[in-house]
Amino acid sequence: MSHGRRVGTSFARQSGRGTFRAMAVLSVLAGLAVYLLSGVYVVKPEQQAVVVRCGKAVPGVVLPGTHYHLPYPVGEVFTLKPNEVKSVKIPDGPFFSDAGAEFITGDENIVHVALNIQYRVNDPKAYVFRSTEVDGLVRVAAEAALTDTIARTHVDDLLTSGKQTVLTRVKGLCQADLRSWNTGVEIISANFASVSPPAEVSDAFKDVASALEDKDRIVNEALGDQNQALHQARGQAHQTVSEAEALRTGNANRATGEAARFRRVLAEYRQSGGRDLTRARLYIEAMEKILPGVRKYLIDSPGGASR
Amino acid sequence: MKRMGSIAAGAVLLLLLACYLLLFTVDETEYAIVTSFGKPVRTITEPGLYWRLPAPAQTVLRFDNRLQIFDPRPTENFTLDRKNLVVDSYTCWQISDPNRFLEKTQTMAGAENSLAVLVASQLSTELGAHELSAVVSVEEDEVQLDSIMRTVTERCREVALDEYGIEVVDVNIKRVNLPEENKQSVYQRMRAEREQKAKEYRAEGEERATIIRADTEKQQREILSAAYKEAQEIKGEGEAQAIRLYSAAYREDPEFYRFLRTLTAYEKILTKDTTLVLSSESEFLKILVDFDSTTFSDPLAPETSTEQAE
Repeated sequence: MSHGRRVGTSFARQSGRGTFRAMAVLSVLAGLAVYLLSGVYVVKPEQQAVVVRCGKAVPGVVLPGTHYHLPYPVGEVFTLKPNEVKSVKIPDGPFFSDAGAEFITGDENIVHVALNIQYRVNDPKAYVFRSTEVDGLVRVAAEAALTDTIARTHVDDLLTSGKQTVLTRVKGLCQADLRSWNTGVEIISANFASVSPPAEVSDAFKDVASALEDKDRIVNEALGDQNQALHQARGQAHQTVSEAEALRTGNANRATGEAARFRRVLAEYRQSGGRDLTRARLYIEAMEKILPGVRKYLIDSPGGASR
Repeated sequence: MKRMGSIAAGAVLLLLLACYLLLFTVDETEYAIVTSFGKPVRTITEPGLYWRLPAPAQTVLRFDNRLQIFDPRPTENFTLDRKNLVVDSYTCWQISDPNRFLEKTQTMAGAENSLAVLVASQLSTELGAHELSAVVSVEEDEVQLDSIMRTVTERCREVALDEYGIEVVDVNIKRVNLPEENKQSVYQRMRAEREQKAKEYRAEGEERATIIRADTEKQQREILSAAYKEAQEIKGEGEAQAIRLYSAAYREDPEFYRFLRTLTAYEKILTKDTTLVLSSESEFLKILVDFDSTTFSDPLAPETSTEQAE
């Protein structure tokens, strides 16, 4: 009985030890599998990855898809979004506010400027390994470029037509710095959020703007008056000439008519034979016409007047 | 069989332990120095897998080799022409010689303290050697801010590399400003400049308007006088034509014309306001007082005279 029990016990012990060993081996294998499987990673479509093996970067970047790397601590993966547009604002502050920072222009004026810089990763490895604070590098590079550029710019250019020139130069300088520092990013755009004179003198700046408008208005008024006056003058000139032409025609017609009339009368006068008689008739007819309307005094030849 | 398994497992464990104790990695972002009881024995500047003796025989010190930004508080500097400027600079730097860095500086904070002194003094030296117009000017050839900062960078670079094992990559000015107490006078000047500008614009407008008005008057007169000239020519032409026509006709019998024309003139001249003193001797009235059929021949007698009464 007892023997059999012992056998049974020893069997149980033996089989227990076997199970334990099997369990141990299994769990070790499972652990190993889990450990090895932890090297599987997914790079999403918008991402790229840089892989590190034993501290050293593996050449090239990993494109989207499912990949495998040696698990930690041998290998490590850094994923990033190379086409993601990142923004930096100058001055550093809440992104919705446009309050600018003070800069000094070339003609020693103070202006308030707020700038937005957009950038993206163009060299993933440099971006991952070169710096811990790429945002900060972009910011200081942009700020230095802005200071340098504004220090060469006239305040009027900065406030009006020269904005684009300033931005182009800022972008160029900033990009050159970031490239020479090998930060692995490129500037997409630089834009002013606001450019304004200080509040202390903004009314004076506004008055200059309204003076410009006044200038245009005064000139336009003068041009309008000129237009009107010249039209009037041309009309008047036309009228004068037309009147003269009418007069010329009138004179010519009258002369032609009177000359013709004279010729007719003369022809009759010559034909009539009794020239004296005609003259007398004409004279008497004229007197008939004239004398009734005229106050007359008749003087008899030796003296004495009668009405 | 059982023993073999145990030995294998033991060997693996031992190997792992050996790996842990003897191997270490150096990342892309760091340099490493292996020290033996505090004494540097090996410098590693390339990333990868390396071995060492177990601690405490050898320890590994790691140094970040990435680009750092040092952004100190703004400092006030005088230019050569005694203008006060508040300058906010930044310095990009990195550890380049880990041994020297370990020897002289040890920590990042220590490096920043050293840089603060170095940059501030170089900046103030260099700015003090230039006039304000070298920093701020609209004349393109006067501004030397970039060359000033290149000089500062160069000097800081030389010193920092020797003294601290640091490479100064770039020293630059983030912001230049005037001290608060100077700003009021700047605002006053800005205001005066603007007022002058506004006056100038308005005066320019007046000037152009005056020119336009003068030009208008000139053109107006030109147009009107040209028209007058033309009109006079036309009228003269008409009159000349009339004279030609009249004289051509009247030349045929001038005496008769004179007679007819005089009669016509009488009709116009002698109106109801005319007082006519007539002599009975006149041919016209002769018949009235002394009729003689033989003498009534020429009605145009010179005795007839006219005069205008009021």
